[in-house]
Amino acid sequence: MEFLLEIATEEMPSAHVRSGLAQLDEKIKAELEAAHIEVSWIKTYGTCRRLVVCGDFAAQQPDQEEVVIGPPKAIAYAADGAPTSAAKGFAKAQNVDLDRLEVISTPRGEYVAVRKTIRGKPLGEILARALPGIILALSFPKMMRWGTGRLRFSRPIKSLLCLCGGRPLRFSLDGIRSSNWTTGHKLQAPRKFVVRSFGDYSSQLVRRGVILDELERRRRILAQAKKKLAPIKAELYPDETLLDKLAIDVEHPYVIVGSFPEAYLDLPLEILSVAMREGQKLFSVVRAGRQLPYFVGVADVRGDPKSLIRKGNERVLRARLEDARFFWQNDRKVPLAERASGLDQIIFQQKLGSYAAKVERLAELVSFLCDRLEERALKPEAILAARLCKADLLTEMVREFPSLQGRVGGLYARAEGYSEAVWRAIYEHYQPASLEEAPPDSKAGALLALADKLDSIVGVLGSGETISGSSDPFGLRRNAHGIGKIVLEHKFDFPFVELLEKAISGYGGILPRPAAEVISVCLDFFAQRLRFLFEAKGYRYDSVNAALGPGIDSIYRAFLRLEALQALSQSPRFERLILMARRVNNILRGLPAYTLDPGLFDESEERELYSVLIGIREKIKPFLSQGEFLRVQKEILKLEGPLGRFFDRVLVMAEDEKLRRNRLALLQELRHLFAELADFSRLVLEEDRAS
Amino acid sequence: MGIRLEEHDLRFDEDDWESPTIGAWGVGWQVVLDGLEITQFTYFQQAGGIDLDPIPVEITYGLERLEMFLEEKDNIYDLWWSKDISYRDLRLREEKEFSEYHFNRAEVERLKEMFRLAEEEAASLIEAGLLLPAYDLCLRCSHLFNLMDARGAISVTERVKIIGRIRTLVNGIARRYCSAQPEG
Repeated sequence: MEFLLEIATEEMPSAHVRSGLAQLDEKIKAELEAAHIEVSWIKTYGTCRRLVVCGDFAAQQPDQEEVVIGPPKAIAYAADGAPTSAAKGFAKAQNVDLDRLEVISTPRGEYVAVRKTIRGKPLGEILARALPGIILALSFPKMMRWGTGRLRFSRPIKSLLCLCGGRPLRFSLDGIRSSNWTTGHKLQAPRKFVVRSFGDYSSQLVRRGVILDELERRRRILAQAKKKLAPIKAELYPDETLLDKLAIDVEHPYVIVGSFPEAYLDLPLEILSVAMREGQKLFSVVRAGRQLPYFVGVADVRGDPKSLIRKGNERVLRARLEDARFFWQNDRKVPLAERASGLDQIIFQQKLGSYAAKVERLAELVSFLCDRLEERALKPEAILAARLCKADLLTEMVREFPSLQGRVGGLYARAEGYSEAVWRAIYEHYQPASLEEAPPDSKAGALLALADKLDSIVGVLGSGETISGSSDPFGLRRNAHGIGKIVLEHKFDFPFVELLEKAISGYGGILPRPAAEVISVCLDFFAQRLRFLFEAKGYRYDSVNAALGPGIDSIYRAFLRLEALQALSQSPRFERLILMARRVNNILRGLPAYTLDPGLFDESEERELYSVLIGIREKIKPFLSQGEFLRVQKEILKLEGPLGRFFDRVLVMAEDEKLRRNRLALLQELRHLFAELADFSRLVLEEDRAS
Repeated sequence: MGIRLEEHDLRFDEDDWESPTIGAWGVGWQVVLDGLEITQFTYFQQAGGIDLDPIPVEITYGLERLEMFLEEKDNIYDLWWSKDISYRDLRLREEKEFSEYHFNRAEVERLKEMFRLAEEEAASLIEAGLLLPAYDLCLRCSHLFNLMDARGAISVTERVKIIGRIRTLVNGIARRYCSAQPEG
């Protein structure tokens, strides 16, 4: 049976629309499943003015049979089989004739019973009861009330349309009653119209200026842009975030192409495109990668026959670009170095002091990193970039376009004639701002970005904040992912705990948590975030656990261990070795450390295992220090044969205590070697999964 | 007004409003006509730190923006006030003098002193139960705060503190005002 629900609202933010639709889909499905109503299909549609769910569901619940058990047979029937008053009373209570009674056997003996069929409830009845609760339970990042109502929602609800099998389904929500009508496009077709089915709904909407399907709206935007830009041989500069927003913000997309004076192309492209995108939600236009003095806008109309919309947008954009040009010229009157002296007036975070203090810490951290990563030649420029990198927070340009922080500083530094290493480092130091964005390209940029993010994490966790569930107000997760990406991209191998210590000491005692506690909190946090990052890159969760098992001595090394593990995990020898490594762990569990004395070896298999072990240990030393874990792993695989023979022929738990302790000591040496590589106990093997 | 809506692109873009000094916030939009913001529309949720019921609605901005749209001007001073007087004739001097005062001349120490006096006065009026004059003085505090801010005389930490101080006064006034009202 066809179902249609439309919640018509005042303009909702696009993120709310997407989240609202996902919640509706999930909650309605859950409700129907709980009611045993079959769902043949369900689909959601949305614009900024309506949340729509439609689907095809079973018309009613299946009938259910219920068995009501009465008195025992021995009491219900006399010896001659005649029903007693107990049977008659039961039949009467159940409202059935005596001949409907039957005898069933239960674990407790034979009893009289009645079979009853419970008619399934019709779909409409179930939904009419459930929908108000479902809609009330929708949650949005920020909710509001309106009028005198109690209801809280993303934006005011204007009407509710609900059909079940083509007939209006009545329910009411804080005084708003569902009906079988809705309205078309807000400006073009505001009149009410009655809806009979989903097909009727979507085709009437088209006539009334609303394209219901987001995919179709996106298709139209891109197709119109392409067509309109063809004559000037140009194309839209792709911007998925903006397209995602506009595809929800308009019900009837119409693409306009406008232009601005060529003189503004003197502005850096970053500034131009942000002025267009963030101020007015306009796309940039390019030809062969070069920006042209045109823009693409998306209006919520059928057309622009008098070019009023184009001219209006051009006028406003011109004023905005003029502002941007003013900022660009005016900001540069004060050199960055001079501006940076004002950073002591800007608070980095409530308990963590000013940005002036932060950039001093960053200078220390990049200096430390340059030493550890053998990048000493880069040090003076990295330190200079660190001292200048936050100065743009004091510019009018960043005040107007906050998303340009860092990039504006980099552009100003370039204009002031700083070296490429310096201005690029400033430009890139907020990267990557998301899981998708690339880390900084330049080495100095990568070092500064790493230092900046780590300083924030250490500071916030050190001040006692905790990150839980969905709440991460300081963006620490994003920062940790950023550090992971930078380290992997630039292959930065440095002692992680030392860097944490350095970062903590930079705060000079203003962190309320003791240093040791901050380090352990940070290590836990990073272990979690690296696990997330590695799994997102497609590594198996058990390999990730095993690789992170030995701890994060260096983020890059943890990753190399993981790569090596993953590469080897296909080999059958590897699986046998892991099983033996586990056996070693099991035997040793809870035992104190023993001392190995090679003079006490009694069996040839012991000697063989020991000599192979010594050989491997020597051989892998250089590999370990260079992080060549794949070669280390391959060497360690050589233990598989000797260890197998050892277990086959040597009794570890020998009667003689000296022999036993010596053999245990040999296994402890082995365990130590394995631990360099991974925590093998965390790996899940084929046979574990089968069982 | 002469705007034929069917020929234009009228959009309601998410733009919530908040004034921390008076403990007020609301949910709403900037109303954008062919790319030009002409109005703000807000459903107020709280004022003076108190949940509002019923929810009031505010429409702000307006005349000049609408007129700029109608005259197709992108500079407010190019608007015509009457047939022969422009907005420039009417308001430019005011803009210049106040800008000079606010950004360059206002005496910070004197402003601080005025702020202190207004704040004290507001507090004593609250004690005396004269809530509306007390609120008026809070608005004066808020204005003086803006002047000091424009002079760059307020550091970020001070800023949070001052906003907090004004808000405490305003919230106190709102609470007393509501509790003095008959129920219903």
